[in-house]
Amino acid sequence: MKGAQHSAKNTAKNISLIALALLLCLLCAANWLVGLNIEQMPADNLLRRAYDHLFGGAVGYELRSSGVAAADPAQLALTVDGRLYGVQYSLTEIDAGLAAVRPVWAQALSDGTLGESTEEELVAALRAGDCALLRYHGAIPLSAIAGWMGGSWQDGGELTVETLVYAAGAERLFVRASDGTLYSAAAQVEQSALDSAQQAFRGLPCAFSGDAYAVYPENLLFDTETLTLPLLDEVGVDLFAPQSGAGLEGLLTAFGFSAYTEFYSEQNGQVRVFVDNASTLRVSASGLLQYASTGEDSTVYAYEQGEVSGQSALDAQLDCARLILDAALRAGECDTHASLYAVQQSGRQTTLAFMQLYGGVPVLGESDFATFRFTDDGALASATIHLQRFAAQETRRTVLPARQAAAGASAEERGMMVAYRAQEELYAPARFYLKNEG
Amino acid sequence: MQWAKVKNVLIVILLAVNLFLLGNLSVKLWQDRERAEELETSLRTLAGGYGLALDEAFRLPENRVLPALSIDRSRADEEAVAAAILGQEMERTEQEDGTVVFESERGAVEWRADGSVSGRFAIDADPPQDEADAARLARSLFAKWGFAAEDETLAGDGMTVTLTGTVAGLPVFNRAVSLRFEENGEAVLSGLWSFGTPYTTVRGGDVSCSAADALLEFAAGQPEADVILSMTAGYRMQTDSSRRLQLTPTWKIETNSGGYLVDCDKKTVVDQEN
Repeated sequence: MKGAQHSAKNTAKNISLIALALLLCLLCAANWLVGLNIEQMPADNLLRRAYDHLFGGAVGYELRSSGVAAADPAQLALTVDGRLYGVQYSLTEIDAGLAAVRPVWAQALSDGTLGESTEEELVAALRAGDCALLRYHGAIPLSAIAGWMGGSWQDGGELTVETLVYAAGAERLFVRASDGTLYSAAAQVEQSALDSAQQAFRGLPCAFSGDAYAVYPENLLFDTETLTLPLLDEVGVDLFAPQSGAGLEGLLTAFGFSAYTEFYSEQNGQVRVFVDNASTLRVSASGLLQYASTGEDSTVYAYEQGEVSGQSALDAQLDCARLILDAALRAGECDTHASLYAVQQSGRQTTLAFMQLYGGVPVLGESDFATFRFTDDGALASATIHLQRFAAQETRRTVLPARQAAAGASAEERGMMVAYRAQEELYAPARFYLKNEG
Repeated sequence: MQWAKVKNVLIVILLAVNLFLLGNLSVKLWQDRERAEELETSLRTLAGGYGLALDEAFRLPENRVLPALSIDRSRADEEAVAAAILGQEMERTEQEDGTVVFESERGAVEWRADGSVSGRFAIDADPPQDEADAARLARSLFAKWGFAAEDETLAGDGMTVTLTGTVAGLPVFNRAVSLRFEENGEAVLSGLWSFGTPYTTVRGGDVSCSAADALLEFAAGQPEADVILSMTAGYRMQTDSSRRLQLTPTWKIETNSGGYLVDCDKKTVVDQEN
């Protein structure tokens, strides 16, 4: 009897111990969770996602590594029913075209091995069957373009390319590097993806220049090209105007400052210099923004040191620069659009250069529209942005058609572009020849 | 015997630690509750200073941190909706500003780059006789045309029926599409709509939505309202400088004179909803 009583007591003690230990774990977790600021955690954190599900936060959205392309193509083309159709220099048409052809490029840009190729191989591939073309305003790393299209490119992904051509007949992808060198790799796109892209794509009839002119064979020559663009007047930007308050605050936030950061004025109040321990932001009322940090410390980090490397680091830097540019363009109430056109990686630093587009057409000034310099630990070392506002005149100017320009090109002039350039107090559109860096 | 004593000591220690943790947790929760009540009382006083009263049933919502979301414009979905309304034999015209106009013998539908839609067209049904009939017909037409939404709600006002829904689990206050039935058998479509799943990037910014800040900014703006009834966190749809569709975190403040939208980030009253 005594033994049974002792055993029951012992069992009760064991159960109490287990229950108390479990309660201890539960209370520790509850205390830890109450002390955490879960809402401030990054959106990709599992705890944050769980919290949002339980307590009515935003749920059911996608989390992309690099959601928005930092560069817009200048031209797109696709063969439909045996005929090449293209769109160019219009944000609206490029947007619509890109939505149609993105699945094709996602498949064409899914890893491969690039090797040098010849112009003859490209010309033969262009004649071999259906083709798709993607041309950018500048030279962009292949891996970044692949990421924006939904593909991925590891081997030789750092190669900066201007034009990409997928030739379905030859099942090859050709890329034109910034120095003019042509590379190619085997690539395959499912017929169903090509068919749906062909069904959705709309453009104007055009053709590749092939070997008929001095320019590169992949240059697009539109059949009846009448690219008529308005002349642009530059309208002054006033970042310190009372109605720009919210925009300026957003701009300061983008650079890691706040509306309460100390600043001093220069040039009769036309320049404000915001200073903290790590960095300086010089804001000119007329739209010139200059940011510099000590390099070792900065108010802006694209990523935490050691968190990412390689392609992911570049993606994060591009996203960081793009978000700052969005804030700057909002602050200046500019009707322009920033597009990446050059990436330079030297030693521990990466420099990103952006141009501004007005309705899809580059506006070229004496200096770059925006440049960002990042160190390899993700810190923004310096940045310069020249904000400008434009107003379209009623007068329009027709740009020299590409076919005529190609006919007049010399051996050195291998590419062509349309852009606005300053011309006697206004910006006028014109076609320019491009010589390769090589 | 010795082991039994150890168990007793362990039980006492665990009990003490658990009681301490429970006390700690209770104090934290009680303090939070006290602070919230204090804040609400202060807000009632401050809002009163601006001539605004907080309704008896008003409860200050919890602060939120919401991601700023983007949505890709889907011309394919826009075209599918237009084809369902106008029939397959329609003409498509795209203007420089991104506006796409679809036209057929039945009428026209126009989609703009900012997500707004408008149209007037004939429908394959008899005009509804009453409000209930209009709601039934609108529900079937919206479903047939491809206007689908999470947590969709239909609100009727005479012969006009408005469809709303949530995106990413939260309301988008200005995303609604209305259908007005006319006596001649035509219908008029208008509103703001989006398709597809919204997204943010790993580096995309979160916006802190402070209910108290928004309420005070709203009160300081001297709105044409006397009583604040409720506050809800959600989004509003707009386009950014690059004409991308954005879902911007926004508070909706319901008053006796209608609903007002307050931007969470800029803390400015952006719109009076109705």
